[in-house]
Amino acid sequence: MRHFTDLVHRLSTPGTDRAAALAGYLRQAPAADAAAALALLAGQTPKRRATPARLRALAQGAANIPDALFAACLAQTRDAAETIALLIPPPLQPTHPGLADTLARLHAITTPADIAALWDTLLPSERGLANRLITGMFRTRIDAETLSRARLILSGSPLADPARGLQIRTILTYAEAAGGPAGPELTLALWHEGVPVPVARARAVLPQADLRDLLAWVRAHSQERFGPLHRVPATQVIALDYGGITPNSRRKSGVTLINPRILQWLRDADPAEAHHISDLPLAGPAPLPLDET
Amino acid sequence: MHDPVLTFTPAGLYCPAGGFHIDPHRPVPRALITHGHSDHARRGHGHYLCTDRALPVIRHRLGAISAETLPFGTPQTIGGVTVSFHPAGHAPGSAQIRVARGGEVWVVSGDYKTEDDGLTEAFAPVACHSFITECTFGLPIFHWRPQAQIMAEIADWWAANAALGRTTILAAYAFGKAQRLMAGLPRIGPILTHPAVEDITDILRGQGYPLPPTVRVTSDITPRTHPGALIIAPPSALSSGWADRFLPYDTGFASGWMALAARRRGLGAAFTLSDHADWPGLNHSVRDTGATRVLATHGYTGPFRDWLLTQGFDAAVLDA
Repeated sequence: MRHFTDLVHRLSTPGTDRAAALAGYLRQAPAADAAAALALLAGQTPKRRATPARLRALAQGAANIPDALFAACLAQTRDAAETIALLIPPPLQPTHPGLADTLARLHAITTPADIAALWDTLLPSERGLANRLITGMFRTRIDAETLSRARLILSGSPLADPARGLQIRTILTYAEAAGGPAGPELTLALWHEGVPVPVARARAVLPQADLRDLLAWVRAHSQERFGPLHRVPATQVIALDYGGITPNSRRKSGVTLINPRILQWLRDADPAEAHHISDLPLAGPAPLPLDET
Repeated sequence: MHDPVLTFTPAGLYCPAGGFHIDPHRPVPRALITHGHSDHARRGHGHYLCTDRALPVIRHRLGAISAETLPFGTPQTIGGVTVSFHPAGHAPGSAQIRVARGGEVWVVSGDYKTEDDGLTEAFAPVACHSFITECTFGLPIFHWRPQAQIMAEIADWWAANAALGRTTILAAYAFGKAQRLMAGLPRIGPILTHPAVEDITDILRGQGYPLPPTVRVTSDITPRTHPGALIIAPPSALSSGWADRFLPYDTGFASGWMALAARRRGLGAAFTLSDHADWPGLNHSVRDTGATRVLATHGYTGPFRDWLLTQGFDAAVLDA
């Protein structure tokens, strides 16, 4: 719920680029959460499960405080929903349920104990939003134009959202022709001034059929051999996931990718669809020219 | 009350039998000081008494003062009373002050928190008849999460910024919070400090507090020399443009007040981390002292006093 709470906060903040905020959320959200978010933002909200007064009574009862103390809290927050959200202690071991899971619990609410149990799964900062969904007072909406703008951003580069694993399309430049149990090691590159510059090495953990076909392709197209490594034409596009980037002036590319992980061999992709070094979200020194080491 | 051990005067809390004040806010001849934050340790007193752990920072802030110290737990007789200092867990060297006359014991909490942060001397309740407690967060809407969870959230934010080539800046007061953050965070990258923070940190390192290596920001420190860095700086430095050469950067603030949505508005990243006790902490502490009389100061004094009355305590507001 943390990401959706954050999205709703951004959508409610004047001056936010709403399409970009929505795109950022959709990019990182699991499919069920993304679908749930879009439905809520389109106005398909769950029916009211409890009134605000019922929630207040439940929270005040659970906190076991008199009316005057509740009033003092309300005077501080100036927001009954937030007061209710903060009165219950946070979960000892937060499990961070997603939006879809939270909505499923919400739909199943029949007793006050169900509401209390739902509260116990959420951080206080997420409960305010959950309470608005419970009381039928969730009013945040996205219009059709904002949604289509978000989708247009989504189809662009997914590189800059740190909320999910960063992903890029790379060019295969070197490969082992036979893999051990861990899969053949591949050298992956990004374009820079018309030539592929290596940025990562990773084991090709791929579905069996793809692995078999890729190894066959490598053997058939090998241009030069360096021990177990074959240099291959820069025509195959590999989708790569990675955890971060640090500048590295010792590398030709100028960067080190942290924890690179091969996602998929994009067999139908044109090599021009692979990314460029300049696509990487790195405000650091430019990559070194290719004729230096 | 006839001749109480501690009374409240225009200069602040005063012990008539001992002839001293505690954390007074006007110059007095003799002052016992709980800790070195500026609303507690002020200039102009004739003579200061504090813990040996607290004095170096207090001297740094106040300059040359006439001062003596006591280790935690060691009693000293002053006039007709016995005083001693006990850990409060608020900042390195911070203390509660116990004042006993005959068999009657009063404890002044100073600022305190009940979670052990791994750096400061951890709070422990001190048995007494009368307990003067701060209540900065004395409302039931304040429940802290374990420090490790908040530090993990800060670390995730720092790592995300580093991956994007942005510097991370945490605004934190130079004494206490800054050191708790640098000691509690995993090392995602280098930690840079504003000179005001590094000055205090150096003093505490010299006293043996386990603080990690940090780099003092000087004119030759840049995002290129230290990529992926976290900078810890006082909030005032950020509004002055001091950090401009570290752009692009993302700013965050770590304080108990970040629990409230209204306080988070307009800030970059907000983390709920406090060096004061939360509602459960205050309530447990009050009970654990065994005190029957509780005086509330520094915070939601009225509501906390009213609550304590419903819980059967002889409760009052101190500053009145």
